[in-house]
Amino acid sequence: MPVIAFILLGSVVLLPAVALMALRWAASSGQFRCPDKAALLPFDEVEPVGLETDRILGGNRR
Amino acid sequence: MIKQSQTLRALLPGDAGANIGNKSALSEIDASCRVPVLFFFLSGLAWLLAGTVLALVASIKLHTPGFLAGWEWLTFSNVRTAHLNTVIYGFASQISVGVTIWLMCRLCRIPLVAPGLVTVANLFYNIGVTVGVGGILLGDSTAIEWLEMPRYATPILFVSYALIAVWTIVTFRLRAERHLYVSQWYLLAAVLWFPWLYGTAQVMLLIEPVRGVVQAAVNWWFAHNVLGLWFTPIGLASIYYFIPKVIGRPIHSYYLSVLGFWSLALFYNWNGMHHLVGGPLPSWMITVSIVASVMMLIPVITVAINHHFTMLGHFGKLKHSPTLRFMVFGAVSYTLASLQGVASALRSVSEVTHFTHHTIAHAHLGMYAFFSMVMFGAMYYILPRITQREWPSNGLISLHFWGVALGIVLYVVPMSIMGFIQGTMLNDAAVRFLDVVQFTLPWLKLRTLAGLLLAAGHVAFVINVGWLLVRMFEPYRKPVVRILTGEAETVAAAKLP
Amino acid sequence: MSNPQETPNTSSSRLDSGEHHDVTELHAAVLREKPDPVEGFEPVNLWVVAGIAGLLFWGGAYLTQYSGRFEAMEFSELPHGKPAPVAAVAADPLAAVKRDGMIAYNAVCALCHGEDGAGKAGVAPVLAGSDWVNADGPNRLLRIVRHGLKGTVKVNKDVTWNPANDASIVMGSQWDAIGGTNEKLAAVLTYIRSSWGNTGAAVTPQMVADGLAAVKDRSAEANWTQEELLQVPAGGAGAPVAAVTPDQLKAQLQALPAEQRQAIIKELSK
Repeated sequence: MPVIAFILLGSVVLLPAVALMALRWAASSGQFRCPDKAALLPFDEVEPVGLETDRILGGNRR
Repeated sequence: MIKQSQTLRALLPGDAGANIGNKSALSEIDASCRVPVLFFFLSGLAWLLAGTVLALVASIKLHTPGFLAGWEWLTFSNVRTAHLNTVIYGFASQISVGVTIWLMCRLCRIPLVAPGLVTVANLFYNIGVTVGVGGILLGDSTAIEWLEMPRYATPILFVSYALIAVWTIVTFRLRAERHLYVSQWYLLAAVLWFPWLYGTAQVMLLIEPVRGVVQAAVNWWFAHNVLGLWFTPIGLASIYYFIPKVIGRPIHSYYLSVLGFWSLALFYNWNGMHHLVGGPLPSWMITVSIVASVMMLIPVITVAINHHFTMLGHFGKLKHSPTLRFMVFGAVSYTLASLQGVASALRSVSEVTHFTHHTIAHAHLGMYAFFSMVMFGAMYYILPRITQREWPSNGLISLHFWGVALGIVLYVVPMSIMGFIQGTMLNDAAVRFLDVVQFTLPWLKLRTLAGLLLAAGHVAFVINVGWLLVRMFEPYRKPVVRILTGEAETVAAAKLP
Repeated sequence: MSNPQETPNTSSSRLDSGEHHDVTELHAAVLREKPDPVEGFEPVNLWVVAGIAGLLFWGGAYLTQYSGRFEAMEFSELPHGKPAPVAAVAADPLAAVKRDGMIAYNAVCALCHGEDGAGKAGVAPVLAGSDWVNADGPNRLLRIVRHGLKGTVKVNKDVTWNPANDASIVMGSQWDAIGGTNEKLAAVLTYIRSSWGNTGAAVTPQMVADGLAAVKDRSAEANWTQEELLQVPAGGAGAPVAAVTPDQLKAQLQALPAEQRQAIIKELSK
């Protein structure tokens, strides 16, 4: 029983706290500030926007 | 400001001179992931084959009970349970971890630190799954759905998993790119959510079991959240990365992706209890769960808009990229699976579909048509890059795609319909139970056929991967730059003798 | 964004803010390739916002209706935790008795007569719609349950039910099996007389007591036969003797022809 109480109460307090901390960290470190920039993160100068990177079927292999 | 401008410049198509540094950075990241990610993928695929065989045996047993009846360790209850645990913990989770590591390194723009440690963790993870599945086949199942692995197997799994999760977070802490892409949100959340789910469920159900119906509540909280808070985020993270990456176009709306992530985080955790509609739980628990299940429409619709609108105008590229094919198939299935899930969480629908094959079709729509397809797509992208070899056979790629695509459609659509009819028959007191069983028989045979198609696809994929590995140990022949960029093709051609 | 004054939300300046224009020109082809220049930070569609608001409203309404006031002991899945619509059953004062009977019937009798009272060919006759079950009173039925029944039985006048042409198929006494009390027997009989379309009246424990009083010395192994039972009036207060009061008996005796009455009195006075 003490183990259960520990887990339940711990989860109830800890998890929302962690979620709020994550949200606060995200806001304060500017994660929500430049969504246009964030959307471009998968790209870089070798594989820029506009470049198809997995053209391997149907002839014309790239 | 300086850093931002540097990043922005890095995003732009730069001149050829600046490319070289970055190109080597990309291949350095890929090379650092090679051993652990390859290990995860290969062991995951081995478990996929084992799981496919077990699934076929279970499927045949449902319409031909005499099949392998003489082998008591292959009774239906053992085989079905072993199938579930093999594909969930052996196949899906291992591929997930491999994809997570690779994506994390790519998006953090740093090579994997100490890849040997992750490899060792993976070794122990496989030992854990082997012990667990072996225990199930020997009859040591705990009989708690999704947690059937016997108690002696789970600590190995938990510790090796924790090691992997810690390593993902360490990689994240050391990142060179300060800004987070939406995929990283999903990945980080998933690696933190899973140990919490698994640990809580282990303690509350096996180590210090709670009493009465609370067990059922905890059980379904866990089982549903494994799908929603472990597999779904990793699947969505992959789609969010690979669709834009392959077609060369950023996602439709980054705002929507943020909304989608946080609403998933808020609502999914409450969903599990809708499996207990009509059960002896206080009605508010089930009602809260139903409401949260319907609220899942928010993340699902935002994600659907984002994925499908990104693809708009780029469907021609499906012809050329296996990754894109699997990803788009998975993204569409995610939308469909979620809508089906929302519908069957409602009391009036659940009364019919509960305890029927409809639920099984739904589970496969989510776990296979969505998640596994996305993981296949990710592997098609990652494997050539970490091995630096092209896929050996386009024919096998097509066979894989069409085998599993047709197979899973043939599985999910008839089984959903059949489950619904089965449910109405079961609810009709005038219909004899035996008539219901006989009604399902032809549909169950169709399912075995669908399973054979899936198996054919899996075998084609594994052959292709094996061939790729053979090429990896051959002398350098086809450089990876050909895959990486179009213009590099000429560079590569010039290097070739 | 080395120049923070420059707004990044126009299509031409998004990618090349902070860059020289010749770079843009160099890559004009790449930029032209993208059909939608504002992807990545497309604002959230108003319809989506409206849809989310609608969903949240529905969620609140559903939660209010079906949460059973968030009480731990509220299990009803109906709006506002209302009890299930069992009014029809609750209005039946015999509901509890019938339920009691059903439990005993399903545990004991249903093995041969079936949960639907349809009987089983060669093993047990039909109960649903049977004239034996729907008779005026329970006197024959309670005897069958108390002491068993053997041999051929004619059900519904014209259907002769044969125990598989096998004398070994006999219904023994079920008295102990159903609980061995007048209340249990009354409950079982009430249940079978009111189920599967049967229309017999309810049986009270008092009726069972009266009916069995006449045969209290009969052995439980002495199974009844159809012929014996047909001599017992189905209705009334049990045994034929108990069916008439001394005054009625006197009247009947007086109605007889004189010599016959004399013979009876002589016989009785021996």
